This record gives sequence, structure tokens and C-alpha cells, in this order.
Amino acid sequence: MPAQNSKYAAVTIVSMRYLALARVTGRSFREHNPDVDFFIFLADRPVAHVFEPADSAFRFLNVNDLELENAESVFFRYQELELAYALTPCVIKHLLDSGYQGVMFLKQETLVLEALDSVTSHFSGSSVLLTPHLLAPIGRKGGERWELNVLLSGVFNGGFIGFSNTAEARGFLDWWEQKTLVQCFLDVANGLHFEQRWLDFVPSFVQSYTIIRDPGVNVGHWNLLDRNIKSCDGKITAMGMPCRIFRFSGYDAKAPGYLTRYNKDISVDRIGEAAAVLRKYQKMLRDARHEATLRLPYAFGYFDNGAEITDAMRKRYIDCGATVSRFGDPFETDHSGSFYEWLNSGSSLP
Amino acid sequence: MTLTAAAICTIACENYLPFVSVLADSLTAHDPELPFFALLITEESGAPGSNVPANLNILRMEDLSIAETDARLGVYDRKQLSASLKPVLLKHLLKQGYASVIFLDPDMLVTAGLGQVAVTVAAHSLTLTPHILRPAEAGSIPGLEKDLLRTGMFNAGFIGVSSTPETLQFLDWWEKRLAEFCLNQPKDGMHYDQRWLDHAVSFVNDLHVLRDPGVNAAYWNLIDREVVSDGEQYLVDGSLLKCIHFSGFDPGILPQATCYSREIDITQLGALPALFYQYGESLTAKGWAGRPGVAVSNKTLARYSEGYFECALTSAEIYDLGKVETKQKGASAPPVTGRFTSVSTFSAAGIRKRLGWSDEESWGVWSRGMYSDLLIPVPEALPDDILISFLVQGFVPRQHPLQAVDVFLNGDFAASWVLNKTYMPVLHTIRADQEACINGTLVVGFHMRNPVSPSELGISADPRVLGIRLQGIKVEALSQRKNDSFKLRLTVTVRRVAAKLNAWFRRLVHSKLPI
Repeated sequence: MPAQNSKYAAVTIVSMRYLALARVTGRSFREHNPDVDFFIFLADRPVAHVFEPADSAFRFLNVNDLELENAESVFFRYQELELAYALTPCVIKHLLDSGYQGVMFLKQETLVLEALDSVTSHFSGSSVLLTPHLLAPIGRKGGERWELNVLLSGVFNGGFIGFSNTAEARGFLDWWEQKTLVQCFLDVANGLHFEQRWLDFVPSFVQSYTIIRDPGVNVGHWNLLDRNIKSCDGKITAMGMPCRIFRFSGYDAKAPGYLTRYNKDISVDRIGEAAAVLRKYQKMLRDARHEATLRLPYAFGYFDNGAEITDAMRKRYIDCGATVSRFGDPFETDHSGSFYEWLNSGSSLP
Repeated sequence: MTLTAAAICTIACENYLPFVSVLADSLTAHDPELPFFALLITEESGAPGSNVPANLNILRMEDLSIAETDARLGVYDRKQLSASLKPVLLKHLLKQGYASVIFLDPDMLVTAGLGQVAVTVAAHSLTLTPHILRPAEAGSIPGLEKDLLRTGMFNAGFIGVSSTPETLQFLDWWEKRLAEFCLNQPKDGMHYDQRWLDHAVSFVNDLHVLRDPGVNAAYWNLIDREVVSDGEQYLVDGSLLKCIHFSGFDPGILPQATCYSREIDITQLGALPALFYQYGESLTAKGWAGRPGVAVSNKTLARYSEGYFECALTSAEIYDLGKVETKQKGASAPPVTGRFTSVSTFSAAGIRKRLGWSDEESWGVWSRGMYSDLLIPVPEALPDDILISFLVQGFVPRQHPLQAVDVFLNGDFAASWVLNKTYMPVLHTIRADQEACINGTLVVGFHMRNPVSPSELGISADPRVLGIRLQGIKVEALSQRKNDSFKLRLTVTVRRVAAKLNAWFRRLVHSKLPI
């Protein structure tokens, strides 16, 4: 780890194929917060040839920098996006370990529009910074459905969180990591929404946390319609406050007419002046060569002989429970007693 | 009453009165100056019975101005109904002038003065207690944290409010949600009143998370806490035990601590076993005869005339039934025609009799059982709200003169009908707004409050439990109805004139007939 240049750090986590998303998050962050180190954590094996000179503005980390127990087992059990989410607590811990006093995590599809001093000022005195999905009840007809949706996915949005270097914050991260390394799935009926729902425990476990109620921080499809986005002289505001962080959660470059793949009601022509932000984001994505990086393979999506790992195989691996240790590295195919061999033998669960 | 005064309150159905009495006694022993209010939900209104202790102020549903027609009365079971009234009671007491109010579940016991807690509550808009204050340890209840993700971070057995605008806004919102969505449906984000409280961290600026291990101590956290006693007082993790929550307590299953988990034995709870036995004795002394079976407590209470009827379906089932299915495949043209569709042509019109119907007869069909429903296909993009009219009669023989029916539209309460003896079926109309039609199918559920079988009434041997007889329906756009109203009035006038002419003509003919 090179020496740190700043008191605080910011980090995003992507697989290689979403590198362009991380570039946009990082570039927009650095543009407005040049004094804060920005890290891109690759939840993947790095592919050297895709890096550009401009990427030197960021610091890169990858899975080899973490000291994970049974790392291969973790990489195998999750899909691409699940793994990126599951590693969130480990990555934040890693950065706190390297000496930063506070670490901001921004999920990959983020656009930073302003300086975040008002956010980092909370690091002194607070162990955890959180942004709620909603700031007030939804008064529209059928509002209860949205509110229930938020209850199912988590009261706090996991796309922008902050941890300062306190014992309390580390205690929470340790516990959160234990949860996400084994249970980072989407299963809302059973209380799971990737890594996010566990954050609901912060007010129970942590004494000094701050809930950031700035309507301009962490605007996304879930609250966009209530935030009154305006564009004036190139400045974007949310409910009259400067819009600092805009999240394009679920943005799909193949469907540029929509803000998110999660809600087809939010098309470009229905989001008013927020469309200007979307256009800016789309342009930055093109400049970051999103289309090219999308074609990169995901290292943990294949066995070492090149065979693709399907979700059904992952499920079988998870169903094996603790007995998977007998397989050794699940990606390896050439040793006898490998998971690959067992899969192809058609045996029932051990 | 001074403005700085605090009050304690609880809500219980009549069968829980022994719990309320024990709680009242424990409060009187430690905080005699704190007024205690209990909202009692009873089958009959009027004066409280002789078994109500003197040290508590009884409130009735009437005192909280809850209308008898309130939709929840027909849908909620005892637990849901009591839970859904918490914000109503808290608001009522704040309006009475209490600066702060603490709600305690009836199965709580006060073990030390609550004065300091009341001071804390008065200083914040909302005070809540988390179920657990630190991650569950290895020896804790298996899967506890995941269970809490499904049931809620904060335990709704303790709620502290003070009189601030923010509090009232929050209570208004909570009340509105609980009026319809106080269901035990964790897969949909609901666990009675409790899951909604998770929104408090977002909606209430001045939320105080009370982290005192001695307040709202219960089996889910005591199992990880250290409890010691000097014989009189209890210390939980070093903090004085002020109120303990005997959730799921049943003296009959001791030493099992709660009916919700077989794994927890009171001997695992440090110095507390004596208190559990003592609590059981106090309850028995107050007349507690034991927990009703789950089958009884889950049944829906339906208020009909004076008393409550118990319905065979739980409200969770009603909610599930009301959810709109995915669009039916192969449904024919949507029947927003304004023309009458008789039961025999339902299938041709794409209307499905899903649940609770007898075999079709020449005139139509009888409902069967407590709940029946129809699936009606409608166009997805409607220019207007639609009206659905039902040609119905109740099963109302002389021995059973009234049949009450609650009608639900996509699971939402839409109307209450009381059907009495009519010689012709009556057209009852409900209105569905455009939003209700969005999924392409309307689910119309009929929840019979007092169906009965002819055999029960001694009329015939027919064992079918009957409620309504349906002859057909008519679905029309609201605009259509407006256009038609002129035509309708004209038709009515013409018919009246024709009838008068007819009568006059008959009299004329009759008078000329030879006798």
C-alpha cells in the first residue's frame, strides 16, 4: 500500500467488466474532491492491457490485497455483482487498516456532482454515516407499496456509506463481513437483500452514527420523484439543495431511455430536469469506454479449464455447506477429488 | 394534570385482562404517581365488568372515536387489532395533555421506577428500544438476527412519545398504515405494527434509540445478557432492570420461557427464574386460564351488530387472496361493456369464479363458505374509473334475516353490504379506480360475516354454508354511466307511465267484466 495522501479515502468496487463505471465514479469524485484519495477495488483478477494513462489518478486494489480466509470459496459461491457487494466490509476495513481516518464507499454506478466536505465533516464524532432511502413518508396514492419495498430492501441505501476508524465502527464491520461473506443474496422474503439489509442493525449496535438527511446526497431512482431535481446554470439541485451524489443504480447502457432496469416507470421523459444528469452520465460513460470494458471476461465466472460456471453449479456448491473444504480450490479442475470432478460424476450431496 | 406529566398505557383484548392487572399492580408498586391507561377491546361495549382493577383507567374503542364501521374490525384478529390501535391511543393521550406517553405491551412487568425513563422519553420525539444491542453470540437463539430482519429492528412492546409536531406526524402516518397493513406478512415487509417502526430512523429526526439493557428486557436479549439479583432488584449487564417483557409467556409451559421458542429455558436467564415463576403465580391469581390455541387467536374478528363473529380465514389469507394475480392468459375481450353478464356466461366473458362458490344453477350461483371471490379481466389502460354492479341477494330466510358482506377490491376494503329480505335481487355497485385496473385483473372478494347453512337452521338437509346468491354482474366505465343517465331517466319515466296506463286499463277491463 503506497503512502496515503489524505485523511480520508473513497472507494468503489467493480469487476473488470464494469471498470468504466468505476472510472466515471472516480473521475467525478476527484473533479470535486481532488484532495481525497480514490480507490478502485477490483473484485476480479486484473487484466493489464485495459488500463489507461488517465487511470493513474486512482489507486487500484484487487482481491489479492485482501487476506480472506477461504478466498476461493467466497469467489466461487457468488455471482459477479454479489461478490462485489459481499466484499464491501472487507474493503472498507482494509482501507481503515492502512491508516485512513474515514472511508467513504460509493457503489459503482455513482456520479459525484459537488464537493463532499459536508459529508466528511461528520467523520469526527461518528463511527458510521448512512443515507436513508426515504426522508419522509410517501404521500402519493399507493405510497405504502413503496415503503414496504424499502422495508424489504433495507431502510438505508448501501450505495453511499462512511466508516471512521473507531473501535465501534470496526466491530460493526467485523460482524457485517461475517454476514456478507456467507449470506450476500437477494432473498427479500427471508430478510436478505445482498449486503444492504444488515445495515438496518447500525442503530441497534452502534452508538455514534449519523444519518445524513441532506436531500442532495444519494439521489436515486427510489427517491428521485420526491426530490424535485432542478438544473440551473449547469448546477443540479435536489429540493433546493446542491445535488452532491447521484446514483444510477441499475442503469443499463443497452436501454438508455430508462434510468434503471429496476423500475420501468422511470423513463427519460418522465424524470424532468434529472434527464440532464442522465445525459451527462451517459457521455462520461462513453468517454470512459464503457462499451469496450463490458466485453471483458469475469475471472471468477470460469473454471481453470475455461468451462463456464453456472448459477446451478454455484447453488450446488453452497448446498454442500461446510463439506466444500474437501474439494480444495473449487476453480481447479485437474486434481482428483475436485469440485468439477464431483459435479460431473453426478453424485448426490455429500 | 400538569403539562409535564407522563402517562403509561397499554392495549389488550378482554382475555388479556389478567396481564393488564399484573402490569398495573407492578406500576403502582414502583410508580404510584404515574397514571396508567388501558384500552380494552371487548366484545360488548358499555361499563367495564367487576373484574377490572381500580388502579387503572379503562378506555374503550368508543372513547377513541373509532367508528364501528372501521374496515379493520372485519379484517383483523385480536393481535392485529390491538397492535393497530397503538398510534390511536398514543395520540389520544397526547391530546389529553400528557407531555410524554409510554406504551407498554400488556405482558410487561415493571420492576423498578420508570421516572428516569419518562424523563428521557419527554426529551425526544420518539424513543424506541432495539431488540438486541449487540450482535448475537454463539449461544444465542439460532438465526435470531435474520429473524429480526424479517420482524423489525425495534421491539414495539415499548414506545415512548412526547408531544412534538414531528411525533404527531409520525403517529398519523403510522396509524394510516396500520389501519390497512397491520399484517403478519414478513415476506411482504410486514410484521404487525412493528416492521413499520423501522422507518422511524428515516422519518423522525429526533429519534432516541434507548440502549438501556434494563428496559424492555426479553428472552431475545436476556439470553445474551448477564442477570444478577440481590433478592429484590435485578441487574442486567450492570443496569437496573426496569421493565421486563414476558413475550409469549405461559405459566403452563415453564421452565420454557416463551411459546415462540422451545429452545429457551429460564434457567439460561441468570437470576431470573424466580421472577418468571412469581409472574406466573400473579397471572394465575388474576384469573389467567391459559393461552388460547393459535387457531382461535388468529381468527378474524368481524363486528356485526352487537358482538364479534369469528371468521374462518385469517387476515393473512384474505390479503393473499386479494393480491392481483398475473394477467390471465387467454381471457377474452374485457367485459367493460355496460351490459349485464349473467353467471352462466361468465367464462365466455373471461370472468373467473375462483374460490368459494357452489355449483351453478339456472338462475346463478350461491356463495359457499366464509370467503368467495371473482377475477374480472379489465383493459390495462382505462380512460376512466369503472363501476362494477352485482345483482345479488343474501341467504336470508326467516330464521336468519340479515347477511352482512364485506367486499374487497384487490385486497383493499371496498364496501360493506347488509342484505335483508328482498323479493328481487338488488344491484349493488362498487367503484374501481384506474389504478386498481393496472394489472389487467380485478379481484373482487366477498367476505361473509355470518353465513349459515340451511341444515343448521333446520330448513333442509343442505349442509352448504351460504352467504349470497349472485345472478350476474355489470362492468361499465364511469363516463358511460354519465352518458346513460339521461337515457336511464327517460326509460324509467316511460315505464312508470306505461305501468300507470296498464293499471288504469286493467281496472277498466275488470270493471266491465260481469261478476
